[in-house]
Amino acid sequence: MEEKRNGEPKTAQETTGNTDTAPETVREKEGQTDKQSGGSLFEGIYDRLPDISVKSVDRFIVLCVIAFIAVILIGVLKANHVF
Amino acid sequence: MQKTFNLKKFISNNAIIILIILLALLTGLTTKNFFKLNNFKNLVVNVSPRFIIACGVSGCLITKGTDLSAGRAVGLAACLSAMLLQSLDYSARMLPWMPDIPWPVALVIVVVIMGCFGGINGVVVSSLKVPPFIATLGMQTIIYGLCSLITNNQPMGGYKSSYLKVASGSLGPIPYLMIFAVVVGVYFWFLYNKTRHGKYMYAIGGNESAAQVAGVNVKASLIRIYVLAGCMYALAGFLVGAKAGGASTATGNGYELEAIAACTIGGVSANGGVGRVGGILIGVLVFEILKICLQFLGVDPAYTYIAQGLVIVIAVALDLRKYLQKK
Repeated sequence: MEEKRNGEPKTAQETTGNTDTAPETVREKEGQTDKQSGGSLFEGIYDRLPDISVKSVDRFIVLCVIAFIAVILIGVLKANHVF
Repeated sequence: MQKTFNLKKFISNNAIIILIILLALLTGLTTKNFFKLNNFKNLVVNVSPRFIIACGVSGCLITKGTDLSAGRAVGLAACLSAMLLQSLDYSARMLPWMPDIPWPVALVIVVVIMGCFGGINGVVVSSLKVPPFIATLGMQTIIYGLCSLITNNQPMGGYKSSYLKVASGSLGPIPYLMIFAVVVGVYFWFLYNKTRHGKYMYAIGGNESAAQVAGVNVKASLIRIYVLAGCMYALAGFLVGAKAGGASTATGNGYELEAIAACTIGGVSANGGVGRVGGILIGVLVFEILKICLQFLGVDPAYTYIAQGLVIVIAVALDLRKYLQKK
């Protein structure tokens, strides 16, 4: 019984040992896939960004559009010597 | 089931195109000669080599890479074409011993040379696992150095008339440059949509590990993509040289950023795995129409650069928006 009891923790340790190696195996595989990917700087670029809402991106796009229109207006007005 | 027309979605998907159409309409209404055949021909002639470059770069972008050596490769190709196709009676011939060769032969030589440079990029990216940004950045500088060496930093001219006709000639009303661009466009559409190579390319861009597990030879595919890109830069450089009537180390400078920006505007996602030839054409057209409109409106070129930069930012933001909505 004690042997068995002794055996059980061993088995548990073995199991624990095995589970310790399983994440390592997963980590190794992930490392391999990282190597396979070539490590592009742009790879998963959107995934690396902090949590951004669609609304904030919309506001940013609207700002850029306004800036685009402003640049063209200023360019046209300067070309016509308005200021 | 009837699909309801979502105006907000339509505007967000086509914001840049709508802006440029409005700008073109404004320019056409306020200036003379904008909506004329000559201006359209000018647009087509400017768009054609840029579209060819963008097609070359698109494969790299779809596989989550990039190719910053595109512009300098175009410049080197233009200089090599110049060296091979200078007139026999030109006093400042770079290669006085070079016999008179037909322009198609010179084109093949230039394509092979630039294809080799593309192959080096492909091997460095796929086998040595160097990030494409770094690999092609290094290649960009190397190519510029080589170009400076072979040209002795001297501008070149004195081309044969047959070479100049490639850019200035036309088949009826259709410029030869447009024919080249159409052939390249059709080829790339077929390659991306109807061949195994195209499927592999999108698979690698979508998920490289999954593609590898599914049996795609990722290394070979990437090498093919970069070799093809190199060949396209060669063709574009050959045409740019013919169009300009001269070449120098400055030829092609900055073309890669325009090409990458055009691809982004045309829907080639920065996240990889997405991109269509039609979208690439639209992206190139957007850029060129923007330039031409601002030229016609008499706007200082500095404002054109700012406007182009804003267009690029808007394109990337719209791409991010699509990604976040899917998420």
